[in-house]
Amino acid sequence: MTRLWKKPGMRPSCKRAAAMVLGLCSMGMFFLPQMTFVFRDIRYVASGWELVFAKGFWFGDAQEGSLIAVPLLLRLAVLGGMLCAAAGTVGLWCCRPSFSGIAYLLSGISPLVSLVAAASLQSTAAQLHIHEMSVEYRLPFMCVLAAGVVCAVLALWTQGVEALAQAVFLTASCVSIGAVLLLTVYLFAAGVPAIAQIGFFRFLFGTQWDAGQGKFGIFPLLLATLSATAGAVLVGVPVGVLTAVFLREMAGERVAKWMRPAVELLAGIPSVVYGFFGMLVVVPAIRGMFGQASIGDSLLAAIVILSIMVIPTIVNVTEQSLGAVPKAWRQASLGLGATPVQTVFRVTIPAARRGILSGVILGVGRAVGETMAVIMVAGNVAEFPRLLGSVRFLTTGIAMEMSYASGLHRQALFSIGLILFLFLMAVNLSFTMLAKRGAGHGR
Amino acid sequence: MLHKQEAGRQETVKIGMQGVHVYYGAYHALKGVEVAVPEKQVMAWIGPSGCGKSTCLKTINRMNDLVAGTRVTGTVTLDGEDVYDPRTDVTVLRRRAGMVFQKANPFPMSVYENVAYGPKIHGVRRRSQLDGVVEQSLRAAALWEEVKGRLKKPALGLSGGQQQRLCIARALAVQPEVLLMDEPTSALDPVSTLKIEELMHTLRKQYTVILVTHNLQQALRVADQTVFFLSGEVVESGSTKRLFESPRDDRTKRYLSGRFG
Repeated sequence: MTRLWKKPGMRPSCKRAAAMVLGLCSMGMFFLPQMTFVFRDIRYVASGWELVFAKGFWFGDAQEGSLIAVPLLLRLAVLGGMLCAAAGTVGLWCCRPSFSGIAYLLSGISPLVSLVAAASLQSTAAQLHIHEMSVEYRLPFMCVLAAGVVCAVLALWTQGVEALAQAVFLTASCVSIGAVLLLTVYLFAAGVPAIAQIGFFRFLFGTQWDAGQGKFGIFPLLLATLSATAGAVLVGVPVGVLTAVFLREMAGERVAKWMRPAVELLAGIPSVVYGFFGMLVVVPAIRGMFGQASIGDSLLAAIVILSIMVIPTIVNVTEQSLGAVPKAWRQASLGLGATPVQTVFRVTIPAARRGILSGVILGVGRAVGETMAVIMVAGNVAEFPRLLGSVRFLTTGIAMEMSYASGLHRQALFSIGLILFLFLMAVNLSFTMLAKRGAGHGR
Repeated sequence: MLHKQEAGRQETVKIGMQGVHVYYGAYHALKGVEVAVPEKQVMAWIGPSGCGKSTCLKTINRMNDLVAGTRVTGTVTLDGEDVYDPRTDVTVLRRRAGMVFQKANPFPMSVYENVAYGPKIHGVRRRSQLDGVVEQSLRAAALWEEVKGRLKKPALGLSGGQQQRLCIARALAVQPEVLLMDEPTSALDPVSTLKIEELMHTLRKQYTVILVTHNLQQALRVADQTVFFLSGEVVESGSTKRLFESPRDDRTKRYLSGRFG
């Protein structure tokens, strides 16, 4: 007869033993050399122990030199990784497999945090004009990563396949959230120093961007990005939404069958090809139409290209959300004697508002972040934007200057990245709030 | 327009159907239906599932047009005018013949906006006029007392029975002459059902009501006339009392006694 109750406690098994041994090994890696830091011709080989407790890297000669401090995040990551591995092993000893699974997993993640922290060391070094700085990761470093993950799997496996599977799902979601978190941390770490040095207002509202003269005011770039995005949304959203309405509500099945893939194809075209199209068709057309007033490479050309690029996103998302509107509402409206057009504008679109808004957010995201296509049509002059004049965007600024920028210039480019990131966050948040407030009426 | 009815009374025919056939693609759903709906009475249409009652109801306000591949032959008249005539304005037709659906389908708007929706699309703009129509319609649907304090609240927050009465109020707000009710109580509890049945008693003073129902007791309680449908045909029709007490057709008798369907 199968017993109803599980046996209490953990049976000793080879999985458990293996996990504990590996965990101990992972702890041991703490004392082995993990990273090599190369500053020009000086090499520092640092074990985990040294990374946590050493003051920093002395650079220069004995009298005159500077200390590059080990970033706090790096110290915490290395120490935390070791402690987590220890906690995991102790947890297994005390028969707490779920606890030790999580602990091992954290110790496996800690090298990733170290990676980000070590990368931020580079920008610290750049401030001291040490540009030839690099980090090499040694075998023990990799071992901590691998051992953490393997130990976690083994520890959870002792609980049965079910627990292991749940842990895998949890890990997968942690990876995606972790990626966002790491990126955010890194963006701030890389972007804040330059803003602090230049001054927040002088950076954001400075009207001149001239790296040669050390003027880093991104206001013209910011304004260009804003106006191009607004233009693209102004053109792209009505066209996209109406196309979706046509496809979903009015076009016959035969027409929709051809049009839908055509619009989706638009979404699949690489942005450099859009740029190509803009360069060869849109720019000459603008030059031809406005003659004296414009050389063609202009904000207008960028708006045209961006509008075309956001349309497929908006069409797809809008069409899906229109499709999700219950048929019963349409029938009710038609049954009251409303025409199909009245029904679309008074019932179907308002009911699909939330989905349409998320389409607009995606569109804004694409327009703000687009780089390649607009580099090819905007002329890239960092001046205050005029509709027919050349403009440089936040994104194109980064892309064009990163290859040769150094020092504060280079860091200012990181700061632009940070501003882009914050801007998109703000757009996302405000639209989400808008959608929530609007939806309160319906449900 | 005038027809002799059984009791010998002269009654105006509001809706007439002569030789109506409906095809969904290759499927022959209605096979030569003949019905005369008298004005300002409640007429119940009964019959087993899939016998064509709902299809027949939708041919009156042409909601069948929305189903691709539907074909209708024969004549359907509203006050003697052919509904399927090319000159027919479908929006006027649907305004005059309002519909209440099986499942309550209020719009995702406020209670007020739901009722005001119809008058608004038909051109009523003045706030005071809309307020009047909304109150009147909600009163007519016996819902006013329950919702007068929450007109601005979302309609989807009402109970199922209230939602269905709201849909009735919404239909009444465009001042129809006919109400087509497609199993309006099949998803409701007995108390809500009772309220809607009571409502039908008062509605018949002003409106012509066709009630499709699976509930024979309901037909007996509220309908003046009853029509029995089977496999896309009308088997028997007559006053409810007569049809339930002495059905002439054997199939009607068997259905009413619950031996099939």
